[in-house]
Amino acid sequence: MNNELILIVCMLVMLVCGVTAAMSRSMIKSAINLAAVSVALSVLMFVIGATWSAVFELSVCSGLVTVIFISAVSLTESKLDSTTQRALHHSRFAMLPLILILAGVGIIAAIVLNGFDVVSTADITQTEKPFREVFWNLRQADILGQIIVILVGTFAVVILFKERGKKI
Amino acid sequence: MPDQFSMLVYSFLGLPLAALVLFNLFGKRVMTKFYMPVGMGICLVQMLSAIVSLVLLSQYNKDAITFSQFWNYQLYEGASYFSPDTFSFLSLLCIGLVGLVTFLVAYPVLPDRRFQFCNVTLVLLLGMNGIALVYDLFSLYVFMEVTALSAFVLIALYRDAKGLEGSFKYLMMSAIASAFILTGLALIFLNTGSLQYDVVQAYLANWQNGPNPVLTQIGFIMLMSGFSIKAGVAPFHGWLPDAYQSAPAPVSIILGGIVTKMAGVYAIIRLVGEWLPGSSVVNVAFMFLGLLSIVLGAMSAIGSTDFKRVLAFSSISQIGYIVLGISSGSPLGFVGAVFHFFNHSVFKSTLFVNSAAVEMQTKTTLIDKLGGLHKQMPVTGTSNILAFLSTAGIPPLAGFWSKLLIIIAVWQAHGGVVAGVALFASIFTAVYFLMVQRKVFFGPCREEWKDVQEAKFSIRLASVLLSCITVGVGCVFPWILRFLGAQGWI
Repeated sequence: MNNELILIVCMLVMLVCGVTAAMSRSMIKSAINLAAVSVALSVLMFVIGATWSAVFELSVCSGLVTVIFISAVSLTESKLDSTTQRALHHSRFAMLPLILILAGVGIIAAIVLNGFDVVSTADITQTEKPFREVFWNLRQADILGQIIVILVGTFAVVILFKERGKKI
Repeated sequence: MPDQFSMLVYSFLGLPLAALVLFNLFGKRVMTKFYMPVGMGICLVQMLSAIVSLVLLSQYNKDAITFSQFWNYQLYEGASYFSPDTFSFLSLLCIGLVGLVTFLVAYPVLPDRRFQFCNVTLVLLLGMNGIALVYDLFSLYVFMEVTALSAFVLIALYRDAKGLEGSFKYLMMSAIASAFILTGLALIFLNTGSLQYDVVQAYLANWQNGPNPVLTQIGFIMLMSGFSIKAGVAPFHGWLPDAYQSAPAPVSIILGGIVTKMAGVYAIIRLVGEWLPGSSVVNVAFMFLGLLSIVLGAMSAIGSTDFKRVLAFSSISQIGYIVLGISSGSPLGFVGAVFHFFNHSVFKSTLFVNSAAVEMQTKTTLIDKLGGLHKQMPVTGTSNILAFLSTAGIPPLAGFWSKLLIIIAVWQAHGGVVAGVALFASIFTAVYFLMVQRKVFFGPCREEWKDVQEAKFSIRLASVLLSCITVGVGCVFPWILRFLGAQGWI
């Protein structure tokens, strides 16, 4: 499969899952769809050469954030009253697909008119440095950040789930 | 400047990290007893380090202290390293100050959650310190995520329905913002091949001649939209009032005082104020965003019935002033915006400390239920007056000077009408805070509040400390301006 096809598939997955996330009546389904958007975005970033962004998007946004989303939903949903539930179920995003289609057509028109070529742009980012050197030597600040993100994820799980029976 | 001084900046990351690791090795009893005083100590050391670093930068006439990371003390080409400058150290000072005040208030307010609170607050401080220290947009994004995740956990600390709802809204909007920021960064990275500040700055100065100008435009718009959501700038502010209102009192202080500013406003000041001051399109766009935030925030604050919600909407309005100052594109507007960034941290923290004091003593923040508390809580009432006068820009308090600089800069850049709207909205600020002051503190004391006592010592200490800074900075501001003028900054 060539890069352009992967890009198109990823963008389609992102569009469909993104719209589904916004329009779904179930918060859990929305969170899962959002995770799918993150996964597709990670693949897209990897293909266009933004390897570091892809790794972080995959590990944090698709992994950790989704876990926290689903945890928060499972803790919150039972506490919502019937009025809030009805408001959430109301199809206030009915026009969203139409707006997105129009926006998409506009962006594609702008790209075509300006002669933008994705593949040639991706060549700019090709780096000769091996991933190991990039990861350990060039992105030390990000590694520190990742460690702290994992730390806060651990605290989140401990604080939100410990003694659940007593409080919730 | 001697190289040893670069070690000073390690304290901003090393101390909170060391405290986190060491204290989690101890038992719960030790942590409950000593963790918060240690947290306060770390914040004090951070404030001192930031002040010393600011003095050193000025003394040695340097722009920034550049240093590498922990396990390999050398700078690689294209590496993500730390390079804090004057604005970074001012931000670190604000973080230390608001952190200290938060710990002071949390000590009596959260007796049952001290170690959970300390753990996550130290991670939050790490995240914000990282934002101020890094020299790379992707690293900035990483530390923004650290900040957002910690804030989400802190808001939901008590796992009550309101807290969980507020934190969920915050996380949802934050996730959308992150998607925007990450995509924007990827698009800019495609054109630059690096996200280091100097590389992106050089590219943005001449982006029209780059390989894909349309792509750059889309990337920049996405980046700015993401930062605006995180900053709570109107019309991206929907999450902010709920998050501030539903958070436990000490968490509201750190959220309103510094988190929103470090997670969003800091990046806007860097990108628009420092890197794109001459772009008329960007400046006009941010002028509209700033004005919308100022007016919408002020109007919404007038209609609110909850003390903390008024403060949340007031934050949106004051962030609007910072954005408006940046939109002027002039050094005067930039200095005004940076000082309003500092002043807003101080006076908004004071107001949230006071709301925490009221909440702790009366168990409510509903304005209509309160009344006549000034006699019972004179320190809280007086510091509240000073803070709201500073927010409204009344001389000689600190808020007056930063707003004055912003309005002069806006007048020069965008004309009298825009400056007039900003000035008029400032009067609205005075109106809604006078209403709050009258309903909460002035007038006859309600029967149910007759036995209410002044807040605990540590809360009063926080309130007095912040009020002294508000008055003190206001009094010495003319000398600060003279110094900035002598340095050629304005």
